[in-house]
Amino acid sequence: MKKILRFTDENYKDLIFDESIGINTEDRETLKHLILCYKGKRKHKIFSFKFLSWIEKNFPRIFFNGRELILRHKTRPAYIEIFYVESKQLNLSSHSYSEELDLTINNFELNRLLKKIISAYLNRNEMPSYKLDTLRKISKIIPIIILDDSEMIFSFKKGAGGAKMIFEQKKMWKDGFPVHPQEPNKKHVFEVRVSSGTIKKCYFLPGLPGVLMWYQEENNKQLDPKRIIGWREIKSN
Amino acid sequence: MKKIILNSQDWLDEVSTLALDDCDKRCLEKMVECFLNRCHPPNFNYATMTRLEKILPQIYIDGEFMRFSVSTKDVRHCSMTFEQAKEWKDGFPVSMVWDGEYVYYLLKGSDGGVFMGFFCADSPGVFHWYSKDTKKQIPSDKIVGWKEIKEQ
Repeated sequence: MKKILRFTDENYKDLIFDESIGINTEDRETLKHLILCYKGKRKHKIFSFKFLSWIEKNFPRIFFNGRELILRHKTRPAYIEIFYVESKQLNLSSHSYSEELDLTINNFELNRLLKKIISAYLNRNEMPSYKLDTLRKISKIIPIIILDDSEMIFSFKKGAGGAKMIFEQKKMWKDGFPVHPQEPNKKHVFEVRVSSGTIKKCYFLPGLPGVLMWYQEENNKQLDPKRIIGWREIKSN
Repeated sequence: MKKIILNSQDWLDEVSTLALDDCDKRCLEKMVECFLNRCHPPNFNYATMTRLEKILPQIYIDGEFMRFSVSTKDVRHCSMTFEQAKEWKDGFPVSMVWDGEYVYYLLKGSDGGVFMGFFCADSPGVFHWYSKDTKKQIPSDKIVGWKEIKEQ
């Protein structure tokens, strides 16, 4: 796995030349130049394809003010321009997403919205309720969010009672537990994949406040949390 | 006073058999559901809360005595508390973060020690306690319970 370097406006000049970051002396100048280009303080420099593959192979992943920078290049007849652009993905951790959003999203409204959505997702609360027009606007400005290395999808669907926001993991077998309304005398059953590869029909219940467990529908036995790969909804035919 | 003994696994079936009117049953269902799912207690009006305070029998969930109380500033500003009566509570409290900062609680460890900690979700609905000092995760079997830090 590639090393990650996190720079900010305040520390990047000193940090690039810190020997402990593990970049050899010649490459530090290149990295400084690429960062100054990204900040608009230098013009793009001429590089070769060979140098691009060297950078891609040997340079660490760079985060600047919390946003990941990714390498792009423009091909010219005899050379290429290499430059960093801000990744459209927002890499967040469930433990520190609030601080990370403060570092990366300066737009107050978007910052507050993302905190609300992620908090609702992690706490299994219903997503915040917005008008359809607002949801359309949000879908255009929201970045691709990677939460704990899992890509999230933002969408919304129109229903009889208005529009409903959806914020969920993209992968088929999802982590944790879904949100579902507790309806008297009705168990909500989901498909749960266990580490042996089998898929079981299960429901979940809290034993203690906030301590949820999966149970098999056929025998009401609790599943060992360590054996669970993920859950998905049962699609009705 | 009469006792209601509920089990977190099939409390809905048990509540349906109680000799309460439909409205009070629904209120009780909401209260238990919010408690088990770590939601804020339902916001009933003043009259409903005070009626429930009078008519609800002693409630036990999974063998733990539950305390129901209504605090009122006035008729418009009232709130209910439905929580385990014991000092060191099981599971997790409602509030994880407040204004972007983790909320700290007092935790009692299985070795008898008391320390400050916070909790966060690793994935939806999967919570763990962390030590405030070390920021390290504490295994759930090493926690006896949590309580709020009272402001001086």
